[in-house]
Amino acid sequence: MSQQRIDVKKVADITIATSRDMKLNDDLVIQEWGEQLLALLEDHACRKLLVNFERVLFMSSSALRALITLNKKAKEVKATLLLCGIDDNIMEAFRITRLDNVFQIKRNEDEGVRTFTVVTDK
Amino acid sequence: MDSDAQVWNWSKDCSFPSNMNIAHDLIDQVMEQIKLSQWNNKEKFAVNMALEEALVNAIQHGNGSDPTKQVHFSCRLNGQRIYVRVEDEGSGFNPNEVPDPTDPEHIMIASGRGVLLIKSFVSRIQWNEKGNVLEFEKERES
Repeated sequence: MSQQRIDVKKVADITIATSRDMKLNDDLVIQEWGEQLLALLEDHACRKLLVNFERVLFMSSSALRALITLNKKAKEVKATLLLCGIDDNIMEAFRITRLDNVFQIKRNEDEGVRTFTVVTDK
Repeated sequence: MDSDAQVWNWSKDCSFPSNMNIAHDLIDQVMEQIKLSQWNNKEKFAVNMALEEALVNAIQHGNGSDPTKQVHFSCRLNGQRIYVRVEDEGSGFNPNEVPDPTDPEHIMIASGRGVLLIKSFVSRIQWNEKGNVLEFEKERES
């Protein structure tokens, strides 16, 4: 049985998934984490997904690969995906791999929620 | 890269089967020494990333996760520098032929990011001609 890798809560129509693990580098952890995020997008009620990394201090390229899969799934189901709470060191890995241009990244959860709200209000 | 020309405070030489759990234990041992040497968070992250990606490449891509194949690991460390050598028993690869994962045409593909991250986070890096031995050094910035 897989372990819970994310804490999920709803703010209005926004689904916020906060990663539980401090390190995203173990294959099993990444697989379970990725599958649990993908499962959120299987739910038709989840079309605004904010993934919060505030507890994560290390992420390998395997975790970045899982995020790319999540991004593809979000596009497929026409959901909007935002990332937030990314540690400065991990952000450097996003910049090096230019994935900071692929993902919408916000500083923290409040900013992520505000971004979704502004987009909805337009 | 001449690791013999340096004075090192700590060293580790070992061989282990292709298993990431063993690799992670090894990384933890190195990171504990890095911590004792009071490297800053940015430098620690860089070393951790380079070790992680180098060992993933050796175990998964080099040895194809075959537990009968070994990874040969050497590490030397002092207050200013770390030297790492990782050898796998695979057929090797040409790092220059790995597609650039930052190229817009490749940015959504799965591979190539590990090599790019190692190159970006270390001070010096080299592969042997066959491509199954990676050596890198990271110097402290301060």
